[in-house]
Amino acid sequence: MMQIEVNHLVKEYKRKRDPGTLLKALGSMFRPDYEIFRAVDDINLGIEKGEAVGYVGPNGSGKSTTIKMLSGVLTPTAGTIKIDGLEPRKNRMKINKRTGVVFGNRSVLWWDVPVMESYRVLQKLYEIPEKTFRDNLEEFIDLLDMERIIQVPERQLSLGQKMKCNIAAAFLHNPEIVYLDEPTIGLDSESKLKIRRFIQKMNEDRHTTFIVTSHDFQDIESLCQRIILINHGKIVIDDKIGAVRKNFTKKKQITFDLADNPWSKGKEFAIPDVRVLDVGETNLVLEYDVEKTDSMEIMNYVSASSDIQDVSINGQDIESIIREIVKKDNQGEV
Amino acid sequence: MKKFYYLMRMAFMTKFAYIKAFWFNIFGTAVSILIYYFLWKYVFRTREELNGFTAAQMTTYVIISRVLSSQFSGGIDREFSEWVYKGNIVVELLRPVPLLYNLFGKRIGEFLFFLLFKGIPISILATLILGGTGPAGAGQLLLFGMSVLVSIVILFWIEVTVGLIGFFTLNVWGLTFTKSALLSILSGGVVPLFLFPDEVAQVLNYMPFAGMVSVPASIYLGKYDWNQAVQFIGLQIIWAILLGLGVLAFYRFAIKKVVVQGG
Repeated sequence: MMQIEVNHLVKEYKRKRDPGTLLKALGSMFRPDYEIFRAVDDINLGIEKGEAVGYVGPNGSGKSTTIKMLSGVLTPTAGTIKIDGLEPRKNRMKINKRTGVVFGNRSVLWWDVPVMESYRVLQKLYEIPEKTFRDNLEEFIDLLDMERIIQVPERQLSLGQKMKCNIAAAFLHNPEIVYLDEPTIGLDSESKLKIRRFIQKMNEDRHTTFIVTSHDFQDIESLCQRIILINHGKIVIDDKIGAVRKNFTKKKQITFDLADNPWSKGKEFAIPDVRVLDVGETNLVLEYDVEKTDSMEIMNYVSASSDIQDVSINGQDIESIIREIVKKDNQGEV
Repeated sequence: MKKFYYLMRMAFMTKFAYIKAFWFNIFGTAVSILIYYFLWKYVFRTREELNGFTAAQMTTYVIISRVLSSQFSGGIDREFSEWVYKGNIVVELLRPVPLLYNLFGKRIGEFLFFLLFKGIPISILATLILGGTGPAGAGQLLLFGMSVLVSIVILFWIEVTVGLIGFFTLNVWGLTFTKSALLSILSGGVVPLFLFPDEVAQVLNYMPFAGMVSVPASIYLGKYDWNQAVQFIGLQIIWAILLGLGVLAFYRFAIKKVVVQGG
């Protein structure tokens, strides 16, 4: 049995229609004009225990709405969700005890008191045994380097420190599932790295299931094995990251460092389907489609007319792959 | 119970973090006591008593009513509605205790803070300085305490309702303001209920609002005999239960419609 099972999930919002003119706005105070907006449109998915899933999509694609339904905060308009066989909406307290959440833009801690006091309250609320609490705390303080910050009230912490404290808070009760919503938003690279390492460790050591939404694709690439892409409330891709890369990487970039560049002097690039992205005194950047053109062909062609000093070939990163898929999906091609 | 204690403690500590702001709050209440004190002093210049109240009793009524009704503008409704319109409600809904339990713990914590840092010291000081009367007796003092306790439960339900309306209006500033103004008047916090027209006063006496100021103050001053006092407290308890049931039903309905704003 899958740990998380979602079938034909739909969420519709009633949204006030923009009245347009001020006069109509006055009228809509009494008789608002609503339109139905489908934020999540017939989603099906299954997630196994211990999986780390990247849930990605452009802004407003329905990511957060899905997570809120999974955690039982929002009621689905239609469809079913089962978490360990339980329906989150009806078993909220039970599910809450087994899940952890991290929101990049919100805090689960109490703002005015030392972080440690917040942890103490969480310990009582989640009924964490003293030993587990101590062991976890010790490990997390060590991993996230929080020694000096847990006696400080949250409001006096920097964004990165707050995030660390919140991530540790989400794991104190040994949750089985953790939702991470933009966990590294606004953080510097050092903090990002620490947080990613921490999450990886939790996934490896404790087989915690993760669902990560992030616009930082390094988060997704370093944390997740599987990627689910959602656009306009519909799942576009649900596959292993490696497979997505293989299936959708069609374009590669090749950069030459040349001693003498005849193409900068008006020479025509003679291979069809190769796009010249940049051309300068000594450099040449080309983009080509791997299905149509072979890289060796380009190398041979370039070396025939010029002296190659250096060359590098880059595949697309996952971010630009996703961007292209979304673009195509918006045009109705996928 | 342990959970409740820790939630209460957290509210207490949070309040304590703002102790400097709280001094101003106390100052405000002290000033309002003084204003009402001088107002009534003027009234009692030409008479010995008013509707059975002596000047000293009226002073005590002013102190108790000002202190108790200073709670109306605080409470959890503002924070609750802030959770709603800033979207933080999602964090609170994901806690392993029911939202109302969490809120009630917070409310009681704030009440204890109020009692310790404002209610008790201000009442004693003001009574000594302005020359009010003490409680009519030890029994009355006990019943007074009970009445205040029950009134916090009623106040809590009202605050939750105001916060819940925030689910729909997405903002409750106007509503919280209306709430504190209405409660002050209907509870007898501004003027004693006997100053209202007889019919109105009769109705107000039996409304849940009276339990927040008028009933406890009258019990304290010995205006009700033992039987009456117990009956009024019983009525308050019935109101607390009825309101609780109503608010719970409204809560269940509203929570289904939660629209979490932002991200």
